[in-house]
Amino acid sequence: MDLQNLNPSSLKSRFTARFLRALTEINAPKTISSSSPREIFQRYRRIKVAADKSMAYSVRSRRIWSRATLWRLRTRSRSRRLVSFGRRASVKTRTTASHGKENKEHHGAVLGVQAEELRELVPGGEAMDLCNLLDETAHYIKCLTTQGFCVYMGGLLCEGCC
Amino acid sequence: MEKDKAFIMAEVLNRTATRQPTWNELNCATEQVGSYFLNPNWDNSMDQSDPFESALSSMVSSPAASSVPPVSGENVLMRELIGKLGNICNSGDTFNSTHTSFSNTPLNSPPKLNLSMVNFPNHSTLAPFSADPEFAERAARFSSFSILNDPLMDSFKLSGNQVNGSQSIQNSPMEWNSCSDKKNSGVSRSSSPENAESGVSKEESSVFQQITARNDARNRKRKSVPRGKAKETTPPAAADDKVASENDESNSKRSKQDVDTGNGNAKTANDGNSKPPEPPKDYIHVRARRGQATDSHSLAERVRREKISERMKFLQDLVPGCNKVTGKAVMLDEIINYVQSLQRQVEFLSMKLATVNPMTDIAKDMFQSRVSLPQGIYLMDSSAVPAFAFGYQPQQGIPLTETQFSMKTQGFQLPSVDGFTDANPHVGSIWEDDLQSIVQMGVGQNQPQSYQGSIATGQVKIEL
Repeated sequence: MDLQNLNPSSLKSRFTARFLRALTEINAPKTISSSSPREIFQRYRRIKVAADKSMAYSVRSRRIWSRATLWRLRTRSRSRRLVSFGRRASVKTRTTASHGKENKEHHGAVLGVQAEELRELVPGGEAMDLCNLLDETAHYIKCLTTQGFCVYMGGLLCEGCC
Repeated sequence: MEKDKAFIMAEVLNRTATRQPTWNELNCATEQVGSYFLNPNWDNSMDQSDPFESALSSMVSSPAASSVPPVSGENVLMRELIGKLGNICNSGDTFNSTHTSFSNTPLNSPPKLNLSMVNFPNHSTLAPFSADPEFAERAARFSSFSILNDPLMDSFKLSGNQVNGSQSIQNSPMEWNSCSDKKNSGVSRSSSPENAESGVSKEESSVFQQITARNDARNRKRKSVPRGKAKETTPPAAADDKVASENDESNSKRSKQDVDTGNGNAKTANDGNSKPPEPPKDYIHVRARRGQATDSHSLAERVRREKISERMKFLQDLVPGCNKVTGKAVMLDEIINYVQSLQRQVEFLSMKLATVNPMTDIAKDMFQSRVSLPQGIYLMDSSAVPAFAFGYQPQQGIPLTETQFSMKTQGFQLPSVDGFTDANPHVGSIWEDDLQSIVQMGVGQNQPQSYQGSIATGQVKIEL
């Protein structure tokens, strides 16, 4: 383990900083006595949202999936507020410019099923052709591993500290 | 065009003996460039293509700036490039970073080189090659540059492609790969040097184009007439017959894909010799293989297919355990499984975080000292992160074994985690211990364990 390649502006550090900040905001107001399953579930949702959001913010808008994630989170929070007023906001993922749709017809038949599944998995993947989809998938995988790693380490620290 | 390149190689070899002392400094320069590739940062990959270009141009221009006669200066530059490429090919572990940096640069804008070497005189003398086995090995690897046409080059046992000089050599990386795949070179190449070299071949090709643009009088053998290009022609002398047979074997005819035929702005050999080549920005040059259709649609299809396969190869490296998998469909299945398991893992871990009792003051300590915290996290080096995924082992066609953890105190079920395997013994054992502790925590929810004292955040270490 060497400390030589610490990059203060790398994905890991950005994500970790944001995630920790969100964690403290989530955990701070709670008291120790709140341990009902519902509370825990709520907290889980918030932590998960915090993780996703901090990851997406760390990537900014450089990637399609990060933009889609941020957009989805924003519209979800917005729609949740609007539902209380009796309105239902239609949540639709923003479609990016889908160029090369005609190319899909040539190759899409071969990998259609898996490509569709992959599009469902990767946020914002519905409107991408296979080429960009694979690019996004690669970056998404890398960010997911970083996210899981940092959440795990955060969990270890919290567990160790209490 | 092969002759020109062969010529340059010949010249380079000629001067190998005389330029020995400069080889060391070139190698030092290449190390510097190599360090650019050893920085595996996805985010900075966009920026790293620029350092690479700047490094390359600085390296290229620096010997030219030195007070050497222009004739030998060019050869030094050539050797620099070849040496650098050799270093790149030698270091297989830089594949990922180079690949990322090159996959992010769009095809239509290959980097511009500010080459100051412009005056390649017409060499009319052929000198025997000096026996340089290392160089021979490197040159053999670069058979994609189609070094041919010289009986002297036969010793390298290269097979070349038909290259039409009028065509601009600004191929996309995948085209170099595809044409190099078909060569009968005696050197077996793995895909990574190809990709690394093909990524660099864009810069290289601009250099070579400069070289070939100078030598209009060379005799070249061509198989097909490019569209709208005037070219040197006549079938070569008998000395080239041996090489001609090699050309027949590897037989590819180059065709150009014009989106915009009216432009006609592709490079001709008669282009201004004084300006550096301008990369075409609106169309991609593709080399068609023998027996394949050459209309623009199928060419575009082929380019797309090659792009897709290139990305699939990269994904294959990302996803653990996919080296044995062949075929796009199975590969995609594996990727889907992996992404799903990663997402589930994040869910699981955040659930685990949620069950941990909230700590107030310690959390604030963590937040305030978060500068030191990332350092604590970095104590696990980055190679551990890909192995992080809970001992993920891809199963081909067999449903993944799933272990489900259900906490008694909570009514819902945790997301299932993929089965622990012995693939990553170190990581697996740690996760098992940790998960057992989670279960204990979950069961003993109402009696939280309290540790005496607080552990300093900067001193947390995980030993693998």
